[in-house]
Amino acid sequence: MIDYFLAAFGDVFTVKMFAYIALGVSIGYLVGALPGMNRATAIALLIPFTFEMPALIAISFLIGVNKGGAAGSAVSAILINVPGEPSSVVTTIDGYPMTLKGESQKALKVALYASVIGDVLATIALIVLALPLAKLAVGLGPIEISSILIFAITFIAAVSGRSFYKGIISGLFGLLLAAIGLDLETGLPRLTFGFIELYDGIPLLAVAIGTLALSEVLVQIDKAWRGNYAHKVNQIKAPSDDASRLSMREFVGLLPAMLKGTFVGIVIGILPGLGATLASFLGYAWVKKASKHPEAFGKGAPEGVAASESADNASVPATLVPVFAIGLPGSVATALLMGAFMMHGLTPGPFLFRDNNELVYGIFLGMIVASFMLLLVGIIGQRFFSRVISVGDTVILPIIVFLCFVGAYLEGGGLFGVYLMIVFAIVGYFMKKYDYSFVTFVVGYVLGPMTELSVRQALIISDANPATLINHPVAIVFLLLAVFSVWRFSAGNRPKLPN
Amino acid sequence: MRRADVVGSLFLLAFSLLMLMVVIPSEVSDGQWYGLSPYTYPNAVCGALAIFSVLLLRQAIFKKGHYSTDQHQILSLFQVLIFILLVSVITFGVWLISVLGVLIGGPILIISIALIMGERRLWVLLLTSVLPVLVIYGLAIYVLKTPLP
Repeated sequence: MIDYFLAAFGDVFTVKMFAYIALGVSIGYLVGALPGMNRATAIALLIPFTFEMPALIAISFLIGVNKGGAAGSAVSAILINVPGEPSSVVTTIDGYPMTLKGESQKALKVALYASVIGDVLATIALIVLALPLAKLAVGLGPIEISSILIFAITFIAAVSGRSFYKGIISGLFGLLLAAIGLDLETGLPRLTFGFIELYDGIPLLAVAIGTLALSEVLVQIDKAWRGNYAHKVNQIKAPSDDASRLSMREFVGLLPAMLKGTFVGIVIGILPGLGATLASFLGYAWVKKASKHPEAFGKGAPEGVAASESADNASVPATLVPVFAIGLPGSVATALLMGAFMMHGLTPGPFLFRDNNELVYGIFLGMIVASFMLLLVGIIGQRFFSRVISVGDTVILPIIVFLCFVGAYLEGGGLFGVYLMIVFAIVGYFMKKYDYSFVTFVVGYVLGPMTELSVRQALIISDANPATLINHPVAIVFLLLAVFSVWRFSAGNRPKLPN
Repeated sequence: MRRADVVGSLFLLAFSLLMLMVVIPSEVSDGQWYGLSPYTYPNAVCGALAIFSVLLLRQAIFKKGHYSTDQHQILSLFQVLIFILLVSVITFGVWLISVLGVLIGGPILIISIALIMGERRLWVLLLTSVLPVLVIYGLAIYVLKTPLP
């Protein structure tokens, strides 16, 4: 492994690479800090701008955006009690009371250090775990892969929304969209309605930008019109007036909470579909339960901020473990990153280690650089990001609409791609309004071609005889897990999330 | 949310049946295949979609307790009108860009959205519409070497 790192060293430790990673982290931090915007949206909008970049720089830049977004979301959660992303909802519980006590600087520093520690440790976990898992995955055939994909989509549908049925419907809708284009085997058009532009399938970015970014803009404008979107600019406590500091002794005292949060973030992040929000909830709950002063939580306990932010950021690299090991995205952001891999001619999964070894270890090194860049950008830019959240939606949202146009246009579909994006924005708007999981939808869309291909290969290998499953115990285990997910999470059997 | 789920599941059921009976038979080309017919995958997905739509409908009708804490309602007429206005403005803006180009159509699109959102400060409207368009246009043309309309 050391040899691979040394080989990638020269590619990563360049001024250009560092500049792009710093830019990615800064953009991510900025987007994360803005309430209503999220890192998946930023990734979807920025993918077209990476087309001209070498694959290593492009992927590292986008991972930088992902990492920065996770850390930046704490800023608005702490300062104005409005989380930049759902995963920072827990940070508001103790972060905002710290601001009210005049300790916003301390809270922001705790969040930043916890984010960096969670991120570094989870990146190391990714490096350690991805290769052994990929080696295991190489031995899996189409029957096993089909069952893993069926389990993954079922499980993500089960845990990513409020309703299992709506989750599975969203996933199926994504799978159906993936069927549009030329058939894999016959090479003849399928569901293209005579549009030549659809022969290669619906462009990923038209789907992603429409359902994530433009639909979110529609939702935000709708909220603003109804007057229930409180962008509490006037409640921001000016950080410059806040002299609270985090001493070394306090930092050491917070380390156990950060490590617990990190552990939870890594475990939850590896499992597909559970996501950063659940990780931050569970990390917070564990630290609170283990604390000698649980009554202090909710009133401005720095341990609460440390636990939730370390869990949030640890889940970011951890979600990449299944991407590198078996080519399985567990969240919208990783599904988009997987799309970015494919646009740069790379197929995520076990063979990535065999075919592009130097690149993979270059990405790992880039991720470590991004972790430290997170610290640097956070320390230098914290005051700036604290100010930026006061910029009004009337400035940001119209510009995002224009960026959506450019993003969908640049992917290559031209105006056809742009109009498709508007259609998916309408679909995404209604999905968000009525709790249909767009996570499962995007994951289903990205996994669709792989699912169809592996099922097709499995049927050829097995002569479409279900009895041959007996010879594939791994496939049986995953199919049983899929059935268990359906039973456990369907109406009436759904376990409650932590309060 | 119960009413929305009833409407939604009925719509999805109708959509999946339409796909199964009309769209897939007419929009999928047959050919020589070995593992899986080109019809099978979309048929299987739409079949599953129909089944889960029925299950959602059943839940919405018979399991009222499931919705006790949900606050969502069907969209109000006002919300629908705002939504239609926004989508129309965005679509018109895209059409305008295709006719007049990004440098003219882009700022008009941004200004239109900002005006709908209630922004009335002239300097903000000018600055936030012209500057981003120029930056993105320059980036696309000179850095990415990709033409924009």
